[in-house]
Amino acid sequence: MAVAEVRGKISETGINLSERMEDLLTSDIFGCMRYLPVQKGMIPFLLTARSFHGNTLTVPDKTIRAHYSFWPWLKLVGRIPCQPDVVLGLETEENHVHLILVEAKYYSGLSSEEDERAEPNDQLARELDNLDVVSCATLGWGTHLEIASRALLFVTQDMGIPRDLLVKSLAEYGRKRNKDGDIFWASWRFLPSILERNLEKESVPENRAVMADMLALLLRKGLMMFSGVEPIAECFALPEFYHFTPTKYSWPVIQESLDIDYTFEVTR
Amino acid sequence: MTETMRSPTSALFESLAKLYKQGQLLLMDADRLVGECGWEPTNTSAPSGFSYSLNTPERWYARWAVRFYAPIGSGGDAPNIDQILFVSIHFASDLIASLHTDIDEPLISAGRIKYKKPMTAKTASKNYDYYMCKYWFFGKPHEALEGWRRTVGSKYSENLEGSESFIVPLYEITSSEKLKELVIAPLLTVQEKERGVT
Repeated sequence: MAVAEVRGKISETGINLSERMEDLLTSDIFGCMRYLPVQKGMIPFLLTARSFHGNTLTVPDKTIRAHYSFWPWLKLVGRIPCQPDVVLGLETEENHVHLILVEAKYYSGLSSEEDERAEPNDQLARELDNLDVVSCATLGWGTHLEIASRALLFVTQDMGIPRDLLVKSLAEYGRKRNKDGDIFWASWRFLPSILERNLEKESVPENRAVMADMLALLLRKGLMMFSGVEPIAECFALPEFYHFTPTKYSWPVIQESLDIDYTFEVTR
Repeated sequence: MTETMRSPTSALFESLAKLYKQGQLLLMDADRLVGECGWEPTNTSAPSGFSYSLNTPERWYARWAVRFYAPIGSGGDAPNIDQILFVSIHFASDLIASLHTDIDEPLISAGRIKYKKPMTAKTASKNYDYYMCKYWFFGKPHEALEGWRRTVGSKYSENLEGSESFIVPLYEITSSEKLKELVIAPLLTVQEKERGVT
């Protein structure tokens, strides 16, 4: 199911498809995750995340349910509205939810920068700001749930943490909210090896099919880590290509030059 | 079309694309590894030296690709760049060039461009260029660093003290760990020793 299309991120005609590549990737991958038990894809992926300050994500040992909100429009009091790509809730027993707000990028950069307003406006700073006050009720997950932890996860195609971007976002957030924030980061490129490992031990055909599709998509997009160089095995030989050439070349006959009467009249 | 039915030309270009893809991943991993040690890429490009001219088909494809690195946070107005590190891949000979190289199997050349006086990032950007990743091919054996070569000065930059670089066969880089062990670690160890970093 293309969640991006359902949520109106891609137009009916697909005319905006090229500028929506990251939405499509997010939709394909996180949409597939939704159909898998969290332990098969989402949890191992979240465990690869590291924060700007070097922390690991709080992931519950036992998740009884996963909640997903794709592109929810968050309009909260005292905050500049934002639309993160995915908000994930990992529910544990006793109605606790670990909330992870996901901002995913593929080719494009952040969609907004710091401005003169009192509230954070840089895309990640704004999302961090909204994350502080968002509730399960806002997300439509029910009022009985209590948020146990909150984290912002930035997913990119980099191989290493994009510190430059995070420095700016955290600086604006810290300056305007007078407190330190933290942003987690993970790469799309971490997923293929997770899926490959899990595919080896997966016996449920439906799960295997979803995981194989995710893996194929990521590999097709070249979203993998460096795993060594393999030499070119084949020998490609192109024989000398100098052959007999004509001994005489001809050019088209050019008409003799025309006589042009340059007499002209100057008018005022 | 199945694998066995590919035409030789198709196989040739597919192999070339795969070789470049591996080169891209290697250089991205190099970015990550040097980034962990306080260096950042100076730009986003990698291959260079192409020609759009009909007359130079030898330059229609990438013969080499390079990443240059400056210390993280050196982008301001303070003159604190006294060296630029680089990691480059030399896929093929660059014969029709002022600094020509003759390659059989592909190589990685890594090293550093050293300057007499520290510079700002803006000044530094005018004091190194892509072709400098080829300096190993023209260098003389280094007296202090075994297996390395060095060059001295440049007529294009008064402030350039010289270069120090080494090579590793590309096909020896069979994993990310090998990249770290054979390329990144020697590169960083030299400048860390010089700075007294333990």
